[in-house]
Amino acid sequence: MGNAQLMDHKIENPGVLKASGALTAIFGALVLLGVVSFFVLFGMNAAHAWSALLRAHFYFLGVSVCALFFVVIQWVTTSMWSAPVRRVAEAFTAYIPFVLVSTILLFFGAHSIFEWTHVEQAKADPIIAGKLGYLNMNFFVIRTLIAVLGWILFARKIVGGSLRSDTGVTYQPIFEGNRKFGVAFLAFFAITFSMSAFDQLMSLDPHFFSTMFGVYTFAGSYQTFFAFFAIVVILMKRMGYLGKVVNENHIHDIAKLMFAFTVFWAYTGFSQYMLIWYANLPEETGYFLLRFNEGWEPWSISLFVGKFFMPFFLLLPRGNKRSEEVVFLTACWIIVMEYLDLNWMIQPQVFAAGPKIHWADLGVWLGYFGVFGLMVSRFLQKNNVIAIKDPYLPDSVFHHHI
Amino acid sequence: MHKENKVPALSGVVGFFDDPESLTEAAAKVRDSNYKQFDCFTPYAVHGLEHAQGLPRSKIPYVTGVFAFTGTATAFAWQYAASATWWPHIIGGKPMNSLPAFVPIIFELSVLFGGIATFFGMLAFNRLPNLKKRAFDPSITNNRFAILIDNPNAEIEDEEEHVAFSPEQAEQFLKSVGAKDVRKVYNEGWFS
Repeated sequence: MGNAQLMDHKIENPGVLKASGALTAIFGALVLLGVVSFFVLFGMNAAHAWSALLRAHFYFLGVSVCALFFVVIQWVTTSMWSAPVRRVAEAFTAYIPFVLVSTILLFFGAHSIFEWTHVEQAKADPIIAGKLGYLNMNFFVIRTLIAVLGWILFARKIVGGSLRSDTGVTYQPIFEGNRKFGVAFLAFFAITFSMSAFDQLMSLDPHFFSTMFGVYTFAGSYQTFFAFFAIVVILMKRMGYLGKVVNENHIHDIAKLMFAFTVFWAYTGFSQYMLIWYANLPEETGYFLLRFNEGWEPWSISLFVGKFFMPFFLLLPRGNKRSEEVVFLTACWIIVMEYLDLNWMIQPQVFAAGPKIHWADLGVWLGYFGVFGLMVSRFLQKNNVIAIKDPYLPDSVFHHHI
Repeated sequence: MHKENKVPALSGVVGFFDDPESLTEAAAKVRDSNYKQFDCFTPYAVHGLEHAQGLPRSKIPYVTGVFAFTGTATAFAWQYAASATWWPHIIGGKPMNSLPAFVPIIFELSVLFGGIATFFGMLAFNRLPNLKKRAFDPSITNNRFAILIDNPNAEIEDEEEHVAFSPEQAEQFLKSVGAKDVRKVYNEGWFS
């Protein structure tokens, strides 16, 4: 394709998502199912209900905030390849305001699942007593709110800039603003995401500490973000919205990133495990001893096999990364494995004896999935599904891989 | 061509292009022509050129894969032999066959074997190092792009086995696909 042809090529604007009411109805029904499931669990055991909420809360917190992280990386690196699909990732950030609601809900449940909120007992335990300066409800609420509000503001600024570019205003100031705020967000994200993982997941066992924990959680969330991303991009390509702008090279790129973060998840998970196993310090090994006993051992092994080995070999051949079917199925599989991973991080601290599986556990997750679906589809129904004025768009549509 | 006169053998006919787009378009036309042996020369990597040239996919990933998994197996076998059979010592209360402790070295050796094999595989597939061939024009490392149609008879000593090849026709053909400048290239001499 000659340069002149490339310049003249007009990308047809597919406009906004025209979803039928059925989609909204399905997501709405899932939200209802989530609410019912929560109260079913709450009737049985409050700690069970709040742990199910925490799992679903952190799941979609990870996916939506990692989506913002991905979008920012595209702005900061002035990425060309992602121009036709960036808007889909931006749509995922539409869920972030709900993280605030969900976080406030979690504050009400904190007393049921976080041992350190029981101040009198915590003071009796010298190790936890030493950590009460950080692990106390006031500081927890303040720093968590700062993190979530920060994410909301950064998302408004950066995604808002991208949406404003669709109207045809001068691109350069939007681009420069997003780069500047993007760099600030990267630093903010690194601190706040690790902090959220430490506060909301690691502190379930207040004796345990691992500096790798934030990276491990991020790796799993980012891997899962790419799974959702791949699924939505493939579905929208099949529905015709992205059919003219997304080709197998874009699918290949997304699959490569999904593959990369599959490996990165295994790398961080193993680094965390191996160093704790080798050093053999009592306050650290407790975390893994629990997860290799009490019926959790098969769960631990199936995580390693299912979240690393299977996607690794499925996504290793080039042909598979370029096949929509294989990428779609692998992405669905990763979504299931992330659920199991979060369950593996949360449940052993909440229940003394073995994994507890109840249909309503999944119901709560589906409820959050419903909210996620509602907010993402509403965003796509209001805004163009591709950033139509992105100057890199024509180049990206014809970009090509060796 | 008389050998005693030491006229260097004609190695091919080259056509020069000013930009990568016209080179890519021309390469596709050469690919679909009767000239089966040709190569493109560019000062930098040009996307899409390998499709225009009709090149198959590189086999280097298979070399990397095979050697990486050889590295995996070697590292495990070596560590197992060393710490569980040759010098069995209890260290830090860990079992002799401590797989988690072996994994970093297994990983590193997989990367090392894979990396080195990729490098040497690349050299082998590109038939490098090659001290016989010279750059035929310095401009192809600077701002021009070239297609070289090989003389199919260049390497064949016996004239009776020569196939029909007219350098003039090849020059004419290169001009017809858009070459700005064409000339013959001989086997010897710098920048001939």
